[in-house]
Amino acid sequence: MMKSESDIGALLSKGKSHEAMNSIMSQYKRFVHSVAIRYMRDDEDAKDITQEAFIKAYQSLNTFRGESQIRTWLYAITRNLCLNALEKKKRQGHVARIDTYEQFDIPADDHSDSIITKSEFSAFFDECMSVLPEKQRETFILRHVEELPYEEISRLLGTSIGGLKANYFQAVQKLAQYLGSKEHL
Amino acid sequence: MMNKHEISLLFPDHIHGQLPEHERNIVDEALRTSPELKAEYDEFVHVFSILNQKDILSNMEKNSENIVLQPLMRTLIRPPHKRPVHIFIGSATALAACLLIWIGITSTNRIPPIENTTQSVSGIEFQQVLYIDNLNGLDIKQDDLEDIMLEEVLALYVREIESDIDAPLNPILEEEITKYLLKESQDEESM
Repeated sequence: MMKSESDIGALLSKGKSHEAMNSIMSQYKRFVHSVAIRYMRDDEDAKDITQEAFIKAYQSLNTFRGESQIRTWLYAITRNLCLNALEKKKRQGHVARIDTYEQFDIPADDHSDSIITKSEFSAFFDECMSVLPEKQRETFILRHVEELPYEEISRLLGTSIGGLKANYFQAVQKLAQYLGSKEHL
Repeated sequence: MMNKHEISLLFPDHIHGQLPEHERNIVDEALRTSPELKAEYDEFVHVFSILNQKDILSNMEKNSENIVLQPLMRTLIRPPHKRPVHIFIGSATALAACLLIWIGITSTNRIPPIENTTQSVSGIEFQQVLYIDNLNGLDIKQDDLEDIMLEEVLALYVREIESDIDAPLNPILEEEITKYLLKESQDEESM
């Protein structure tokens, strides 16, 4: 059964850290993995980061005071792990680009139809995200997909709320242009 | 009063119904009066209809389905009451091993404290050997002295004869040798 953030907070305050961690893992597995895959661009790496993120979260569970949302806290842990892993890969020469998504080799005609299957949608979404710079992409996903409040996103990305609104607007504008150009092909 | 750019920044949140009332009213009014803003707004609506939040989420959900966190959970989240038993057994074994090693080391290599600095070494008996260099005035006996002197004198005598030097023998030495030889012959005769 899904527990709300306040329920999890109550479990933690009662010292039921095991039960709280079980709930956190089952509830935020998707979120942590999606953050990891956006940064790592590799499913296996993202899975490793997901596991590592929950281990870190568990180890620092006693430091979580509920001042920020659990989702924000997990995002910060995951993002730090991803950036460290990418930095390590970069040093080893395994990462060519970390600021944008890699381009997927998908024929334009595949998306001209309005009917898009689920697997196609995955590739299509990745392709759309590839046209956005990192900050715009993160703002778009955290605001549009995860529905985080601007205040939380501001804390996570270190950008002002005004800057986030501008990033979000520019992201949608770019996506509109990109989709428009694809529809005219 | 907001300009067109400031109003357009509110479009994404307006589409998702996440604006406070006064900002929503500003956008609604601008859309009614500005075809340019209305066209841009419609493009944004199109983007959000294609990149639908539910589709994206379900897609992410599907991608994370095959992540197995159960082993991780079992590893991380063990019942706390089991831990002390493992720790106790491991610690007790390690402690016993350390104790045995310590006893073994210390019992073989222990150096007792030195209480008397003048301990004597016993158990070894030496046969006494007489060396003239080792004698002092109190130790020398008459017989010993005569034997030593005689050996010395004879050695000198033999050396002088063997050297084949035609030199006169020391009269005192010659007298002493003569006395000694006479005494030796008398002793032999009396026996």
